[in-house]
Amino acid sequence: VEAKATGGTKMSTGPERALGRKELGAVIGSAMDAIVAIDEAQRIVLFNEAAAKMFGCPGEEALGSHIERFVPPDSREEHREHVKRFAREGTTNRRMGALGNVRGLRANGKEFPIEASISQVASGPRMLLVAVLRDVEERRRLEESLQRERGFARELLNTAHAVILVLDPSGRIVQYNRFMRELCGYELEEVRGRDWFETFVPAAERERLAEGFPASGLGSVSHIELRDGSTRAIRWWDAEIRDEDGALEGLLCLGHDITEQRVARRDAEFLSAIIASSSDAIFSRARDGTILTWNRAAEEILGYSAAEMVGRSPEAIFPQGVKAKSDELFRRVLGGEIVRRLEVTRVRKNGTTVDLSVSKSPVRDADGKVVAMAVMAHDISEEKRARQAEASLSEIIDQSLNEIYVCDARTLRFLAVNLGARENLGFSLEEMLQLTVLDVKSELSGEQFEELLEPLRSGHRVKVEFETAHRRKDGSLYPVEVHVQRGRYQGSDALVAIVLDITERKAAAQRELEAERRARKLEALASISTLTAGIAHDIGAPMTAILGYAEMMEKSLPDEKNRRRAQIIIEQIQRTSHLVQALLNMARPGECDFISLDVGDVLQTSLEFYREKLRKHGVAIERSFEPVPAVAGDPNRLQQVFLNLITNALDAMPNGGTLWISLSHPEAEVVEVGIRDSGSGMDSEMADQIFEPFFTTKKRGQGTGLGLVVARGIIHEHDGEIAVRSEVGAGTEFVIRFPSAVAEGSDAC
Amino acid sequence: VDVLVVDDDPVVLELVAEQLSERGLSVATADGVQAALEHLEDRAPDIVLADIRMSPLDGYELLAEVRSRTPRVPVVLMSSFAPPGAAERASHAGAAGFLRKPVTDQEVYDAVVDARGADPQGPDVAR
Repeated sequence: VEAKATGGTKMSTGPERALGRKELGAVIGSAMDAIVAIDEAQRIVLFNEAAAKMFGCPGEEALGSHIERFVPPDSREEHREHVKRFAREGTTNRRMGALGNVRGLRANGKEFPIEASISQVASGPRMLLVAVLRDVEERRRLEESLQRERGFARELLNTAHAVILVLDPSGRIVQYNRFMRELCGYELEEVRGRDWFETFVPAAERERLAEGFPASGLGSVSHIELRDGSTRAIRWWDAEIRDEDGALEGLLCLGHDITEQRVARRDAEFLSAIIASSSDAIFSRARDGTILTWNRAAEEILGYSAAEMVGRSPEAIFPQGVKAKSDELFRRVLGGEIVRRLEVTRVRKNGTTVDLSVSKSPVRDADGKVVAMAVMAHDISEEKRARQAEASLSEIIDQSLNEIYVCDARTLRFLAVNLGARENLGFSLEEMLQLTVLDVKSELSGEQFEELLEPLRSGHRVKVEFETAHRRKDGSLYPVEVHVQRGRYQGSDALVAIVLDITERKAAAQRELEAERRARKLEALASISTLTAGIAHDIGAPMTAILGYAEMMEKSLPDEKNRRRAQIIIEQIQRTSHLVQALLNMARPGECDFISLDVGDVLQTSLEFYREKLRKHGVAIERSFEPVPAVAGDPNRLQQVFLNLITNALDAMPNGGTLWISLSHPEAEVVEVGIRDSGSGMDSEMADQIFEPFFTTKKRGQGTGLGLVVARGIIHEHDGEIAVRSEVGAGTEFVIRFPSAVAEGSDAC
Repeated sequence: VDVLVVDDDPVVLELVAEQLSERGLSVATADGVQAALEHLEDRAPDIVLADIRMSPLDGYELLAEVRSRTPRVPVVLMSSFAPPGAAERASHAGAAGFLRKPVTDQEVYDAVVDARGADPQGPDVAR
């Protein structure tokens, strides 16, 4: 203090009149700023307490030393220049800091920033320079740190991934950050000063939120409406801004956009709901193979509860022998592969099996790493059974011998044709697909076919039926009954026809018709015969009388001429009697005595009967008898037939010839008799008529025209058949076929 | 040889009687089964030749009657245009022969001879 006072004394001039030296010294000494004065030689002449403190150097040590002692070495040159210029030009600057970045050097060697104001003071003859110095190190540090903090805050505000918003107490927009700007799409300038609620809050929430303002809602969620009309969900953390007096200046609002989170969470919830309610089994397996999740459908389909499965390996559901394959698939899926619609069989908890269609896909985490395998499976047992049923049904349809045709409804071209149809027609499927319905139904014109289809096309009927003929590949025809209905085939309008080959039915109908005709004929014959039998009896007596008396006359009459006349009567009676007898033979009631007989014996007997007569007519007999099984028959009736046929043969060979008699066994259950002559033969027209009643090839008076009718009737009674083969000039052969009795076992005794 | 001819047709009856008489046989006639049976009461013939179709009783009934009364007397049946099987039926019923009318006198004679089993003119038949 003493030194300062001394120094001070030296520098003070004018003011000391007003203030005493002592007082002045006290002012300087207690000044907050350091005050240093130097003389022209830049030696320190005044160094107050604050300066001692600032430079860390006691006043007594500083006084008299060169000022440069307190100037950093690298600034000394500049300082010297500065002092020189200052002394020469006399300019001064009393404003603190106007000298710029002046630096000082403390006694401990440390530099520090100084604000200085320098002035010239004339002290007697000496010119002193007085500097008032202020250590600004503290302030600079403070300022720099403040600067840094501000920059940081600004950076923070602008880089924050959150809405930062300042509203005034009435809810007007004061400020918001870049995030908000980018989010909402408005420049701050556009909306500054506008009401927050009207600008950004959706109408539905506006009133509620505006009412509560400015009460801060920590963690409350509300929505904001963006420029593009979309809304975002924001969770708010508000803080009030108050001034020093505690008056509300505004509200600082920090908002997190949680829209994505919410969507994600909603999605996740939705997904688990879907999985839970899925009718497909959905489960997942961790990389170690154990079950991670197991949904309800999995529980239902496989019978294991989630509690039983989760955390365990699912080996129980694999049937024997498939685990290796399953493991292989598991590895592949973990490798990123997706397996789609694999049909597998799995074992339920109750031991039964279930057919599943399975898709397996890798489950990846956010980094794309496969962390699990997801499996979706649905029960296809039912479907499989249905498919099998369908397959076997279509196989049945295809293999059906009923003919099934599908053709295009418009072009009539075949679209599908089953095996039965192809086999009957003789076309391959490829050939069939080139044909139309009309190619096959050769007896129908297109117009006629359309006419038949008309009720179908107009919708009056769902099915039409008609009969026509189909032409085979080889050109042959067969009668068919056609049932047509409309249908769809592979997406297009089609006609579906089920066609029955009615050849057999037609033939049966024909046979029936023939049998009926024959029965009618026989009936007619029977009634004729009944009548004949009655008449025959009544004329038998007079004829006997005529014959008898004619014979008597013939014997007793003396002259040759009259005897001849009587003879004619006798002959004519005999002729008449033959005719009547033949008629009667047709009329006999069916009194057959069937026995098991050898047809050969009967033939032989018949032949013996005529042997003499045949010999007389110059007819040679050629016999060819094979051993044959027995036949059930009436020997007398059969003999009648054979005699009739032999008589006919004899009559056909008036000038001699050969009679072939054969007996054979051509089929297992057939015995065949052939009687052939080498006579005149017949043309086919005649041959067709020989079994008609009253047809005869013989001269009038020689035949009755009933012999073959009777013969055929007898053969039919034996369940046999008689047929004729004849050729003009080459002779005639009758062939009789009997069913052998062996087949019926009637000769078992 | 005594032959009893039975037929309800008088013309045929007379004819047959005449034919057989002419061949030297002793013939009696009956115009029906009833008359024949009455004749049989008086005297048994050596052979009976009867028509089948008569009424009220027919030849089969007569045959049955003759066979029961005098089994040793053969019966030959005749019929106008008999149906096939008639001969068999007659034979089965015990007839010694069967004739289809119209019939020649030779056929009648032969049938009688056959039925008698010997020459009707022969000594042992004549007796």
